[in-house]
Amino acid sequence: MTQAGQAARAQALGLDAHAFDPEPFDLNAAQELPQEEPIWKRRLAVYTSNKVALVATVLLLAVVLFGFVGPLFVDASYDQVFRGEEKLAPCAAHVFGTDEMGRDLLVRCMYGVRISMSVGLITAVAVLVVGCLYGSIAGWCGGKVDLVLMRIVEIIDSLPAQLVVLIMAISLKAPIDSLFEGMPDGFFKQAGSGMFCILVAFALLYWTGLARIVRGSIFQLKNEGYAMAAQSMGAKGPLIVWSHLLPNSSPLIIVEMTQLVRDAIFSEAFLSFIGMGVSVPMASLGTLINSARDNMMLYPYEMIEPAVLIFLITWSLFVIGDALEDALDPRML
Amino acid sequence: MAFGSKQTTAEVDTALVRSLQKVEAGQPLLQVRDLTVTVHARKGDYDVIHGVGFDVRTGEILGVVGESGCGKSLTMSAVMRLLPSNLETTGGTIAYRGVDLARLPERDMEVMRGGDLSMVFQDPMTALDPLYTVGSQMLETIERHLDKHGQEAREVAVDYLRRVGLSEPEKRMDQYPFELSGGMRQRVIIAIALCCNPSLLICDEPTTALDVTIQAKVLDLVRDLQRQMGNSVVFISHNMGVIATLCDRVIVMYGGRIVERGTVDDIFYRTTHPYTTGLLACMPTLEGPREEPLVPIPGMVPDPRKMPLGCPFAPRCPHCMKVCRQQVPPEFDLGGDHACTCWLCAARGTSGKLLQTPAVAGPLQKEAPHA
Amino acid sequence: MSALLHGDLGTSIVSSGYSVNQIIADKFPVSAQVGLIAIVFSCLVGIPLGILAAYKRGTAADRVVTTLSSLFSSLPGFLLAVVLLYAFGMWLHALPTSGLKSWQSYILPVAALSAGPASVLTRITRAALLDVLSQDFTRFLKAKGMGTRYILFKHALRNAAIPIVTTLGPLTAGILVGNLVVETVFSIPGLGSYMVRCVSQRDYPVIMGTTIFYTTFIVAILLVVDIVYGLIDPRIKLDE
Repeated sequence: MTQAGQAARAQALGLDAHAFDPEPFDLNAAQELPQEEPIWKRRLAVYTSNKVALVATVLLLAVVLFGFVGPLFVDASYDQVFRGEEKLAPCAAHVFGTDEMGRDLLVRCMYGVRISMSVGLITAVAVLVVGCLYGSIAGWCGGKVDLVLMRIVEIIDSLPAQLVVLIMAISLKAPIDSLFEGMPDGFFKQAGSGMFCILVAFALLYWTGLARIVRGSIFQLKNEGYAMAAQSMGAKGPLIVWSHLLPNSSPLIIVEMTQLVRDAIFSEAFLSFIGMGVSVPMASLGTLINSARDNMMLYPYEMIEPAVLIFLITWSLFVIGDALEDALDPRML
Repeated sequence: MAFGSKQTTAEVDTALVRSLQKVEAGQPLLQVRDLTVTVHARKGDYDVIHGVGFDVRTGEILGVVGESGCGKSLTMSAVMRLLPSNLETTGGTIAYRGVDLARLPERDMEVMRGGDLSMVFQDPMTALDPLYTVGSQMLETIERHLDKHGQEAREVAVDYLRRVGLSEPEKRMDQYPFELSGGMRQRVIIAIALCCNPSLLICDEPTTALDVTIQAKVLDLVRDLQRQMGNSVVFISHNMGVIATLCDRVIVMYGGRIVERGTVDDIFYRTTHPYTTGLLACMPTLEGPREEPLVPIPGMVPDPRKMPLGCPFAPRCPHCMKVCRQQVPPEFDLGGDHACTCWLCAARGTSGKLLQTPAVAGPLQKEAPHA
Repeated sequence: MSALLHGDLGTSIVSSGYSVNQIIADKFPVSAQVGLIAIVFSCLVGIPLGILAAYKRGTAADRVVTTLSSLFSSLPGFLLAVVLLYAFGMWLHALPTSGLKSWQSYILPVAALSAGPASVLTRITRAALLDVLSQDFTRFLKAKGMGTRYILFKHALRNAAIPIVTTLGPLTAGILVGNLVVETVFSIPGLGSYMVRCVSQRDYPVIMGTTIFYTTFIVAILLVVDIVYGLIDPRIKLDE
């Protein structure tokens, strides 16, 4: 096989005379892989490609600002009574109007949003702690511990949460009332012991879903190579769970949390609506809707304002949860 | 069940089936030409199969080999029109007994699938509906394609369960998939695929998910049944050993293209393409010197979104030349059934002749006739 | 406590002389009637819409159904009840708004009760069907030449039935709880509205009693759901 022969054969096929010259072996030639974008960037791209989710995110942020920053800009408090200005329709002085006692509805709605969001967030934090701890223990220990712990979860799950919250709120009322006696005046005190009962009841009931998810995820992950590798190097169980397994379950946890915040806000509104929530004169979206019910024909705006707010919150959380699930799904990347 | 099983009456079925051409033994049953499959993705479309063409002759077993991700399964899924929803056949013809499957209406394709064309998948554990008995899943196929019902259909089903070597076929009929082992399930699946007497059976790595001892039995079964029934089989595998024992002719695929084709002897004793050489080098043999280590092919299968400019194998090829980095090689005719898509054939003077692919025989019906 | 174990739930403080058992026996049939209609209605609406969305996946029909279900599952039941009451009863004067005197008076309460559960059922049905349709055996069914509709109705739907049936427990619970508000809003003399009145009157024995009754009821439903699993899936055997 000579060089000349090769060149002739190449030219016979209409190729360059040097076409058959050997090339050095180079795995990376022609395979210049463009640098993959970091994972969070791709996830963000999936999230932002969902236009509805973007709208929902903006709306939710707006509502949050409305509830937490809004009261700073309005020169009235939620229980301030404007005599002679009762039952006003929305006007320049009272943008949302006033109720039959002459209280400014804009401020009351802001506080309603604040109560709803706080209930959602406080429940979320409590559930995050309890659920992750419980789920991690069940998942990591496995065996009999897991069996017993998960039976307890099943029992709690089979109870209708909102009704049990009702019972718990009633039976927790006495001890919490006495606890409130010596408490300094603050947000909790203003919201009332009923609200606090609801929070405690939520924290005691709503962690089961997250515990299930964390347990399942840890069960699956603990047999992965990296967890075993960490264990073989002498890392203790809790450390592995905390620094390796929980971060890897975080997509599932995040999605569950949006769902949970939504459930908590739903339940709080329901309980407030039937009169178990915040104590007067504090307002929550549920109590606002309930008190507007009697004069619905005459003053529909009293009903519409809190109704639209609660719908915005629950709908945007729903859409955001869906979009997060897509964005965090490895199959979508 | 009331749904669907009667949705296509025997009349429509038989009109299409009767219109299929008879093919003599040794003549091409399936002729695929210029098959191109495109992936529709969020970031733009790209091809995964680049103009593949091959024949399957009546009564032969054709092996398709290559690493995972070379397009073996996709090519055959395209033939069966079973591509995932984001993939589409964007070019070429799939001539099967005088009908172009690529252009057949979906309704007629359903008549073909499972009837005259059958496919067996890799994982027997998930290929059967867990909630229905083996029998009912066989019967629905038979009732769909053979126009046999009740006791008559049941007899066909039991007969095929016996032919695939299941003990107590009557009892198996009333068992659920979860009551059977993996090997038994794969036999059931092969029985379902064969029970309507297809002219072409496509096996997509049917033994990969099975234990080694069961693998051999299933391979024997496929070969025995093929000899009994005289149909054609396409056998997809990444195991050169399996291909060597089972097949008449072999196609080697790489990067969505066919890189070498020929008889089993061509591929194993007159190996031409460096990729085929690489595949053979990582196959353990009993004859070879024991000290010689198995040599893996360096590098990885290219990402179809970032195909190299020239020959897809060039970056991993120990004999890479200048032209390989610039131009996709044509297929060189090496005589007989043997052909190879590699510039080395020309450079070494083995063959300067390009392979002339024969055109599809006979006129193709674009649409199936209806009764 | 021993009385509780014997099925005695105590007596009411406010309506003195009435035992809680008696109150439940009086009022529950009314609630059960409305609730049952709502459950049947939400299944009849939710499941077919879910099937439609899965079958027409990615089309306009799918998007309309998913959007509607996301809207309705974000509306708290009490809000929907109030809105319906206002729109159809007080504003349009199209439908009766209180009591259960005629069949028309069932329309608004049932609609308010079943919108949420129906949209949850739609979502679950759609997701479960799409999951089944992406499994290997669906591909093998296609390879056997089975039509899309046949695969959907004979195979996919039965495989999707487990997640659908699983939601029936929470669904019943949701409707029972929703009943509290809906009965109050539409002045229906059932156990739900009675219970809400007891909450405002702090009639704790009645609240406790009815809650225990409801909880037992829901646990019984969950048991039925477990039995239904066995009928759907041959792999689940109750005697094991």
